[in-house]
Amino acid sequence: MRGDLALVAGVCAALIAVTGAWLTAWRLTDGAWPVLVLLWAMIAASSFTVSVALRRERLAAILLPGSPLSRWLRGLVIPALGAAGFATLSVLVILRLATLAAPAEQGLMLAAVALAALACARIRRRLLRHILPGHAESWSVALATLLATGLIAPLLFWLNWAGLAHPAQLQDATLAETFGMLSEDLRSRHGRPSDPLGPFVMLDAMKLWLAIRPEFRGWGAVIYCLDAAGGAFVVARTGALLAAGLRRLPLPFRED
Amino acid sequence: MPTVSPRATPPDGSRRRLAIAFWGAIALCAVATVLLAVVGTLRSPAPAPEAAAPAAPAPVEFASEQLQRLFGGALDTAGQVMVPNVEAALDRIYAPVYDAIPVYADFHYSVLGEYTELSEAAFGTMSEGLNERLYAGFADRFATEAAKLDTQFAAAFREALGAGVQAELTVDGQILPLGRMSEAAITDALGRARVTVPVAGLAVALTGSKALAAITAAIGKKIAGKVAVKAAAKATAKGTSIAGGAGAGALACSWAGPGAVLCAAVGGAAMWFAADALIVNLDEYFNRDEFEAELRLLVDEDKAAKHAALTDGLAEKVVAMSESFTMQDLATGSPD
Repeated sequence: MRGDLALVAGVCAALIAVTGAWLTAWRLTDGAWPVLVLLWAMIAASSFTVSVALRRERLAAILLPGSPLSRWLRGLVIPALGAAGFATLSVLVILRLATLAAPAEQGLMLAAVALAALACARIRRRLLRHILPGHAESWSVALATLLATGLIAPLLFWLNWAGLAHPAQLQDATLAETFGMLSEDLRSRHGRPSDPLGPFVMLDAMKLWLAIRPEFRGWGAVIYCLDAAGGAFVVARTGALLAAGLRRLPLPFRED
Repeated sequence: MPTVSPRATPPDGSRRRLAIAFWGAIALCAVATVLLAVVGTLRSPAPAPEAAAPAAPAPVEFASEQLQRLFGGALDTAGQVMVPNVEAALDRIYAPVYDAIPVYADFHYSVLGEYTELSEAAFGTMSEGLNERLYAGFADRFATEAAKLDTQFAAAFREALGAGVQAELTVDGQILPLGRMSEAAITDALGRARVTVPVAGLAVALTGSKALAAITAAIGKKIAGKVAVKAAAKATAKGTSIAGGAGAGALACSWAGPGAVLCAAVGGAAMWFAADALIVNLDEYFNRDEFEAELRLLVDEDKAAKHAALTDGLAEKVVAMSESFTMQDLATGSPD
């Protein structure tokens, strides 16, 4: 258990350190983007190792020994594409959380990361008694993601439903004014990723604007909160993947 | 089961080196975060030590609570400033309506006016007639004045906020420059004062054709009632005078031979209108003041309703600029 807790601490520390470094640097300089490469690589490498292990076990189960196909079917392409895609999505979601989300939302997302990482480590340990390691790792990531999402998403829904207040003038604002109000904070910092984050702000503004239209009042607000809660899935999967990936790198204070 | 190795595990030494590199990078990030935060703090408006040249004072950033207090104070002040402005605007809007009351009374106490009102009451077009005679140009005047109120509110808010900010920035008689973040927040608030719940929007709801018809319908109902009562009262008086007129006409027209019937009818009609004119004049003599007073009272009631609507509109504007809502509020319809 202590080893699992150390792993969870490592996952959270790595995420906070990298995101914090980027956020702090972004407020001061336009040259903060290399930090994002580290964040992206960290998530992509973790995702890749988990997927590769699973695919290799599957290939090992279907390829006959000595088949020349084993030179071509090495189980690298799909895991690489999947890892690159998910890492990109995850980095964008984390950037949005770091720059636009309320502190309470950030706290819940961090809890989702920690919970998913802990669950991933615990579930993997149990699964290893019954199934192959690659499958155990992949299944533990999936189950931990579901578990953490299931626990945190309702809280996020409630937070967006009753906890987070929006300025009343948004109710009478046009879409452009809503976008202007939400991007006020970004504009004031003039960081380089302000432009890449523009579509995120626009998407947020559009969702909020639609949710508060009188025509969609009621169910529009419910969909808005469900959508916000859905972000927990990406973040929880990131936490579980990082736990699986960083497990391969012995922590400085613990030998795996 | 085939014995293909599921994963090529890196040798222990390279894994250790990778781990050191990775955790070293994480540690570097953590240290860099702290260092950059320190650099940021040093760059932000700390009082510069006495420099050689007379250094420009550092910009001042207001705390969130301080900004909220400034906005709240400015909203209150702007709301108070608007009280006499609303009164003045309504006076300008309703002055032509009050001026039209004596003119309308002239019309009402005329034979032509009486028959016009009777026919309007019969065809249900009393409201349109009253609109033309009492409320001509009302919608345009209201829209113009409501737009002015919006502008005045924005100006009053700007002035009050400017005064509050200046008071906060003045230290020992010197006005310090405002920080970028605070300036952006204040500019945003000033913009919101212009776009939030425009009172001008009320003009459409309060003076549209349906709304105006509702106002004049109430006045028209009273006038139609008066006209009907007056017509009924006159019918009795006229019955005798017209019969008398026709009888007298027939007697006087007996010289006309076969044209005596036509002559008598003309005499009867003349008596009818003469009786009308007499009764209208008598009615005016005894009731005109009361009629005008009643009309003024009805217009006063309408003006008071408009005053309440405008005041509520401005109050909503103030509330909308200082309040917030949650999704739950939207779904349940309860304000925050």
